[in-house]
Amino acid sequence: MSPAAIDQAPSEHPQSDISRSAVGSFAEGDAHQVYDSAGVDRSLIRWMLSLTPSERLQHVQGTIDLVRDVRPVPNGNR
Amino acid sequence: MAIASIIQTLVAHDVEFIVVGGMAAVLQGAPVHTIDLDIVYALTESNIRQLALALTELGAVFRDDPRRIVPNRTHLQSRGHKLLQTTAGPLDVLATIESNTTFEDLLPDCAWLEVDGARFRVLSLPRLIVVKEQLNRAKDQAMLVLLRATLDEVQKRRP
Repeated sequence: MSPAAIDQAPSEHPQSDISRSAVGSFAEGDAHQVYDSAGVDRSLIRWMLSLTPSERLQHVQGTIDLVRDVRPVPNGNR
Repeated sequence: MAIASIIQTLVAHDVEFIVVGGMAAVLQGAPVHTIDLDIVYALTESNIRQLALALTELGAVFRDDPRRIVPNRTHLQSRGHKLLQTTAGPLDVLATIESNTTFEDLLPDCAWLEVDGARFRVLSLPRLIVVKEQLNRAKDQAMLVLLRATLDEVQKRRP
């Protein structure tokens, strides 16, 4: 499956499809399989590797900022 | 950007340091989340002086200590871990990692990265994996799986 197809159809890669024969490995010929045998989403790694170190840092910083800024909504305002 | 500004401040003060831990993993493409920056620094007098200046600029104090103690050169000369809070976020300043591995010991296993014009060392993915393999904690085992997968993807990209 091409990377583009992976982006379009993430639900087609359930973890139950994972081969458990060897931790962290793929079956031969599955270079673009999303989950490896350890359950790691390789598409996330490939996306991270497509970024520069600055962009990776921005992504982490964005998550930190979100967690820092998020506030609970009082019951009456839902 | 807070994490980048810590790195830039260290670089601007010519501090000799290596980024280790989760942020080193993130910077090299591992999909892990961490909120602090861990560095190992050279224990030379000149570097400790530069590090102290950088920490002053960052407003560093010992984390989880209500006395808000500012790390001084004596603290930085010690081999213990200094877990600090800066105005730009948490910063763990480590004299050694593993049993007694120093900055100089780690130098052969470093890569250079650049963020917003600041160049600095990070501990390589293979060496990060070795560090995590020696730590038998659940959180390290979880990260190990991601580090190994990332190294595998990096190696696939090499010509």
